[in-house]
Amino acid sequence: MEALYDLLSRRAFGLAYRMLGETQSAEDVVQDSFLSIWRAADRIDLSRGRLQSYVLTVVHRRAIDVLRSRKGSATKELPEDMPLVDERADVAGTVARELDGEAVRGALDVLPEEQRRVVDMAYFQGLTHVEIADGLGVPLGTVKSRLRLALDKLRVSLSGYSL
Amino acid sequence: MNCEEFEELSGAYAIGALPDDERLDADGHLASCEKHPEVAELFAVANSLALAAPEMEPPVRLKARLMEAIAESEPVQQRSAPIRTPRRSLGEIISGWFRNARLGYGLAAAMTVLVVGLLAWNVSLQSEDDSGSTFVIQMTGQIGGEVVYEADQKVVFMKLQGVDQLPPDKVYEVWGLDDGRATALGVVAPTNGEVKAAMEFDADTYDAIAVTIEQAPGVDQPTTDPISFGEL
Repeated sequence: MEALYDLLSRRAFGLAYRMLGETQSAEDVVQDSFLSIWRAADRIDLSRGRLQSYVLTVVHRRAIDVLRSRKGSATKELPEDMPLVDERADVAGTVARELDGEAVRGALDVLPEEQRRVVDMAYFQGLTHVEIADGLGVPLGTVKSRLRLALDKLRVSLSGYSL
Repeated sequence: MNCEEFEELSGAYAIGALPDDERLDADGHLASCEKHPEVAELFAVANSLALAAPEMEPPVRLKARLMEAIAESEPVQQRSAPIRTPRRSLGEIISGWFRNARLGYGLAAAMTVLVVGLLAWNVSLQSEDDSGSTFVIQMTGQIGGEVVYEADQKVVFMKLQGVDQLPPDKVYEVWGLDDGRATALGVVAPTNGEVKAAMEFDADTYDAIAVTIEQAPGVDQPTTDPISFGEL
């Protein structure tokens, strides 16, 4: 588990911090995620997908749980002092990272603003489609179609990568 | 939920933006409908969004906290029924049983037929095995198959057919049922549409076996209706 943590903790913590916006909650989510993975190690079929994808999926879901437990919280702002790590400097990886953050951010950047916004609200802020519709003041069907269109466009943009 | 309704929700479903009730409906539709192969790609795209978050060095204390928590915690397999990752295929397992029963002659050529015809084969095997300790449980529901229970070893060998791949955040979880109480036996994954798995199982403890779709990496109690079910 220590090796797994060393390998993926920066990714995991970066995702949790991006979603939760503060260190303590991000720490708690990352710790809970790695602990649950360790406890379930004998039940996890890692052949189902890449290890990194699996770990980040667990972190994302737990961060969503935290976000949805924050009743009535306002949409958070990204911290300006968030320390960044040069992804090209990642030398820990024995896990294949054919698709990197730069490619995903690039694909997001070319989405129309209204689609990028619903993706951010859904994935990083953990809002449901109903909450997004309420927040933006648009019909629910519009949110559904924007989310589907956004994912379709991302799929095309990232088609040269191994997802 | 019909296909049109599912398609309308598919983006929100893949990115995790559905409320629980709609998500469960969508899970149920996807498990029983083969008309949405693109959804797996949508899930992969949605999962890749995690990479858009810049990496961050976590506080040093976090690793120490985690290692301390692990040291104080018992892994699940020491306090509940464990699952064994099958080290042999079902064919190899059956081959071994036949050798044990001195029925190995011509096995390789007959293996495909034997796997398909487990029930008939079981009758034959039991006629050679006076202990009568091997039973076949027919699994019914959205996913069908057989579970072979070896009472002497207290182990089941599960083979399910027509099992779709699930999104990365979902798993097929197997349960032992005892008068309505469920105990997690483990998580299985299909290969080429089939599940083949072995896990510990005691018919003195459980009276049925079931499979549900749950959030990865598995849950302590089932949250969805069984998609496959068999009674002893």
